[in-house]
Amino acid sequence: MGGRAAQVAVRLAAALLVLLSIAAAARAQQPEPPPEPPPEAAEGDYTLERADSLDDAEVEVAIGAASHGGSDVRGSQRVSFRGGGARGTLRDGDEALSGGRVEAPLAGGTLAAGRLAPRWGRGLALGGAGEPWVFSAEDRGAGAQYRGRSGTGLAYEMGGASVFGGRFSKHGVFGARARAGAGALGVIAGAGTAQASLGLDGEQRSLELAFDRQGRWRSEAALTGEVGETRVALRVRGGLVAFRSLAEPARAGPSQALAAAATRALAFADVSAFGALWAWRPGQAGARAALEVDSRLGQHGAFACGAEDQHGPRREPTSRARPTGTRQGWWCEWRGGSPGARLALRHELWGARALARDAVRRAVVARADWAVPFGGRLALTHAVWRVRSGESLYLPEAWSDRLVLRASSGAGSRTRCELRLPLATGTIHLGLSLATGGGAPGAAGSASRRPTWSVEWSRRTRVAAGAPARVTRSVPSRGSGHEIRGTDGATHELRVVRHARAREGAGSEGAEHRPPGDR
Amino acid sequence: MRAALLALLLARSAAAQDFAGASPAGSTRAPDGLLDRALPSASPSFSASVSQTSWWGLAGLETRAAAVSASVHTWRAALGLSQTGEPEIGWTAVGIGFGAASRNAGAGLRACARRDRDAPWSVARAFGSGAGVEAGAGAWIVPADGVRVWASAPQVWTGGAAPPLARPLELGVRAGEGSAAWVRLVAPRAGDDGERALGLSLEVSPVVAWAEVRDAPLRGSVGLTAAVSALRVGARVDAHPVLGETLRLSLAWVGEPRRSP
Repeated sequence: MGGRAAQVAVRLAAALLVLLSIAAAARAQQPEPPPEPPPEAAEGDYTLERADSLDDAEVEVAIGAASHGGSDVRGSQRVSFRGGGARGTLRDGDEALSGGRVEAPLAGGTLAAGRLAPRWGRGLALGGAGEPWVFSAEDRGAGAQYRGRSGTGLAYEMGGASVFGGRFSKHGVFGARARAGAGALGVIAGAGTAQASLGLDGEQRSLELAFDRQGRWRSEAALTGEVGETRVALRVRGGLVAFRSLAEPARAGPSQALAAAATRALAFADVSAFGALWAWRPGQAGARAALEVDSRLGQHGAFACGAEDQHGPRREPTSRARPTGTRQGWWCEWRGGSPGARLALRHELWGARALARDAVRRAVVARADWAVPFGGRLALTHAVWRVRSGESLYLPEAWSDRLVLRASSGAGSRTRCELRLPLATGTIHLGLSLATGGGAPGAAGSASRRPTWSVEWSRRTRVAAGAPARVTRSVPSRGSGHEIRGTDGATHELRVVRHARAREGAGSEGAEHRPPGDR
Repeated sequence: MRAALLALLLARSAAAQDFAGASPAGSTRAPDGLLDRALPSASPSFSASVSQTSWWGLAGLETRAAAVSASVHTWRAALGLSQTGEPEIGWTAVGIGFGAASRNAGAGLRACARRDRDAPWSVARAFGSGAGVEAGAGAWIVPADGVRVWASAPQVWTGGAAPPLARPLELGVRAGEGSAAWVRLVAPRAGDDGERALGLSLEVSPVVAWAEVRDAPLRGSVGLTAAVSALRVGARVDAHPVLGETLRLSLAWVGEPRRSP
């Protein structure tokens, strides 16, 4: 780190200690930042596929169509199933999430085919997060919140052993891993080289050492635990700059990182603190610290606010990249109402100077939704933003089976109207989006854009053994009618996502992103 | 040229447009709420109102509006006609609003069509080519007794000739009925950084006096409303450090079970 970066690091470390001491008594999870497009994603909108919510012996079928502006209309189909140890999702016609994945029991193990998103240990060799402050990737490994797609191929797992082979990052990659107790040893080969991973996985602590044939290595350890009533998590990473995951080089992340999080439930609110320091290479360091307060207001209401401070590049910079300055921001969010009519408001401001002065990003979001006759739901979301040139912003758009991050720039607004109604033993989802002003970074001009629409009918059926099939209502992605937080998807799904625009190292196999301007 | 200058001035500093009366922000029973902000009134009522706005004391730059609204159970509807400026630079606007509201929540839709006054006005011409059309939505809820939170996006969609005033999303919270305090946040537009406002009102029946201060640039508004039986009279002055003062006067007849501020 350079002298200035070292100074920043020391100050951030001090701030981190203060935050940790403030939060020194926590329950609950570590702060959950909103998902961001991963490093390998190209410019433009990005779509995260939700992990399916099927119970055993359930099948869900969906057909739909969507316009992408003007007369460009595309149909799509989706089938998801789970039962007898098998599960899978197959999609067709869906540009953002085409393909699928199928798992089936075979010879005492499980065979998986299609899209793969494995994770080994801490993710140094396979399934890393990419962002310096993220403890575990949200779209890698079993049990992830979103279904990732780092490659395509076959995988087989039996007991503590697993093998996989497929196409990752535009070349063939094969891997094998064996686990014994908490220990694990894995080897990955492809593109004329090989890497190995040694790991220890425990409930509250995990460690991984990954290295390649040239002697390049990285190591990471993570600890979670409780200090009094405070839940804390700590992550430390070290190694050589030149080490890159063979399967997912874009997600290598920084070579050195230190991150900590603490959460405590106080009488009036849950308080979370977070801090991270990292170095991509000598002279290119960054830091981030955040404090978040989340308070419930009565039975259905909630208020949350937070402040955040960032220094240095969030994504791996190139040698030509301009130095990334300070970004300081704050946000607040309120949700209230009753199950019949709800309102959520959010404001977010980021500035290039202390106390969010010299604004570079500002966004205001309002969402209202109402119960409508026949058990339906109508929702209207309106977002307005203004982003300084060179900055980027993503607006999350929660769908029933995905989270779409809409790339936005300049000044503009986006409105989405959604209607969900029971229809023909299933559920129909109708969506209409209007956008004006700044769109995907790089898109020409700021003129009004054509409205886009989508329609999807889905039906979820439970197949009970020995009994006729009975129809169950499609599980709404927005929870029960008595919930407020959680009914609009995860709490972070109203949040604005922001990050530096630089996307060096893109290239892993991911069809999730959509090209700029393709709406 | 004059029209362009007028549009620029309006877009930069006006707080509301064709159908805005003299009511303070966030009032649950403002007769112009549905037409101007897509926020229906909380209580069922029938109203007829007229208003006049004199923009920065400029001769020939006045807005005159007339509106009626009605309610059936929880449903609300409003219709208005407005005219701004002299024939050479002015425009005529027709507005319509629909919504539904209860004591604790409400939501509405509004639409407005504008046409320059450079030719005789007609309904067919108002919605023909060359007209400017905008549509918006708003919603409010009462999360706790005496507290009202609202979101209003009067121009979710625009078509045809651009409106003279860009009106982005506005969020607000108000505590109290007659005597109240409120905060408003207006989202940024191209070329500005949004707006934040803080207001207070004091009720000494039958009069309500109120004041609001806004930033970017720092400026303020003061107003006075009085209700006598079903008749409401309002006056409002908006002061701008550069452009001067804007005066709004409104007169409304509101048939509803309760007196409003």
